[in-house]
Amino acid sequence: MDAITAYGLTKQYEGRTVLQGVNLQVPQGSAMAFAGHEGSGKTTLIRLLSGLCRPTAGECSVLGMSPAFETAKLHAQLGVVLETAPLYRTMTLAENLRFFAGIHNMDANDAQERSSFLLHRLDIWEYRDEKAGALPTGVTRRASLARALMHTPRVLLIDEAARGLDPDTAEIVRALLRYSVQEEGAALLLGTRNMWYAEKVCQSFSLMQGGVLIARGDKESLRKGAGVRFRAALRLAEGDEPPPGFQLSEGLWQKDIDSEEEMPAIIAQAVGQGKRLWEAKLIRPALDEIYRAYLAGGKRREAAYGQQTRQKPEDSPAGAPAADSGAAVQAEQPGEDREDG
Amino acid sequence: MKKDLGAVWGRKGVRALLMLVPLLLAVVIPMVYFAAISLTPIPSGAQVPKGIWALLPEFKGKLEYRQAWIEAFTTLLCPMLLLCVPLLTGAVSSACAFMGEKEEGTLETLLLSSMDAKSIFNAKVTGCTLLSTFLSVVAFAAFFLTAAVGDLLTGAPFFLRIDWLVLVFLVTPAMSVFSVVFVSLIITRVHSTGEAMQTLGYLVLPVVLVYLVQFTGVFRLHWAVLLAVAAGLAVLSVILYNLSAQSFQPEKLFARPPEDLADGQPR
Repeated sequence: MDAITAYGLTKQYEGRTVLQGVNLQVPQGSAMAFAGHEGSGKTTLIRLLSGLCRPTAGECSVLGMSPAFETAKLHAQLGVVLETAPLYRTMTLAENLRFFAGIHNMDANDAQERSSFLLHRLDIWEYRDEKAGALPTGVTRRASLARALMHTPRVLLIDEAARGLDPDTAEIVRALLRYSVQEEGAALLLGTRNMWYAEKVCQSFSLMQGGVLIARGDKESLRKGAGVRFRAALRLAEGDEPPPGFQLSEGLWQKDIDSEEEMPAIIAQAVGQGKRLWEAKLIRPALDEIYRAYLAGGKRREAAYGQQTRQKPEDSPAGAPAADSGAAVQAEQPGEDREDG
Repeated sequence: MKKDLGAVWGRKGVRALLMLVPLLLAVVIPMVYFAAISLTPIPSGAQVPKGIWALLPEFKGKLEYRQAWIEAFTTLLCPMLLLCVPLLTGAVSSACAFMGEKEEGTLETLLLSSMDAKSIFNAKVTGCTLLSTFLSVVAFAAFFLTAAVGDLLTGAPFFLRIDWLVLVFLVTPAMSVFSVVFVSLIITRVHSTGEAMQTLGYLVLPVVLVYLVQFTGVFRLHWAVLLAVAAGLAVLSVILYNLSAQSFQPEKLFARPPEDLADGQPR
């Protein structure tokens, strides 16, 4: 069963389209990252799914409920972390958690047990009696997550979980999110621009740009859709010539390959040719590389489309899918690219 | 509700305002007036202006010059001072409870909880109205003591008559509800707590004007008129409450693009 669904979800603010025709399904018990650069519509999507705003067009549902019309009922099973929704500054961390547990009609003992569990798991137990307004940024972010997890929600919507956290703390947060998904069966939608973190936490990804969903799927299908290939990397003894087709990059002889199954043959060939092979490895493209490939592909498609339009204006299609193979391509023209796009 | 009351009371500036202004209006100003009228020498043949004299009750013939001025002050001007208390406390507490929480972002956190928007709105309106009514009652009790002592010392007639009873028991609570609901209605239009508090001017000005005009001798607010005012305020409060409750929706409260649109691409 899908915990989160969205069809043609569109949001405009004063005539500006900030989210356009997004289709999305997140099954119960799975984690999906909604990844993209600043201004790609991540926060807007979370606000729409949590009922803080209503779509201009399209529809969405969370746990089969309409966020806009069954808001309170939905919030009983939904945990949301937004940067714009902080804790009460004048209350201590423990008081905040007790207060929100009370709103969710939690039994006092259960609330105590749950807050103790969350504060320990997030490593902020020692801050429990400090006012929320005086907490360091990293603790505040973890405290907001604790607040959202207090009532053991079935769906988690989290905006920028790792922003402002050091690597150790980000790992603590990641571990708790994995626990929520795997042990408590929650569905997680993580809005983030940190592709590395998205990759660590989630199994599937929706890549966004300028309010448009440019691709979605698991990492492998996205890689294929973007046309990003694996790379075989070899480290040879100094003076040894590389096998044909290999280029030196970052101290290693590298070559694009279509499949990891080519690796044994490459190694065997190098050894067979008498090369002194010290190291051989398969380099899998990171999500960030795949995302950048999609952005670059969009730019190439735009250029090709423009050229085609100039040549044959009467035959121009509305846009042709440039990627397939499992990655659901939602938009053919993702708009203007960013600096690093 | 408890949290809202704690939040309002927890702000030093607001707490000082909520304590000092009623004290000033209900105790200090009347006390200064009583002292001034008692200690100022009376010129021979001095008379209360005819307009004000005409507004005094039937037994005015028995009043001396000082007693007549005290009677005029307590029945024609002091109601204005006392009515400013529910207006001020209602508007200030409402501005803090609604706009203060909106400014800090915790209203959004609250709206993400399983409490529906209507219940949050009701809790805030109830809390602010109770606080405003409580402070108005305390202010009236303090004024009662001050005026009773003043009346006793100068021999002026006891001030608490039917128009005062209508004012205290009907107009004041209605005024509290009205000011709270009025401020709650404008939170979708203002940008800060200070701006919300400025609307106090719209509420206080008509009251001050009515009572100042009354003091010039043009008319006197009969208790029946006060009764009608209380009823009118109650009806108006119900209308404003419904309007305000309808607009207390996340979509209207946070009708702005999220932060990450700051450098986003307008399409």
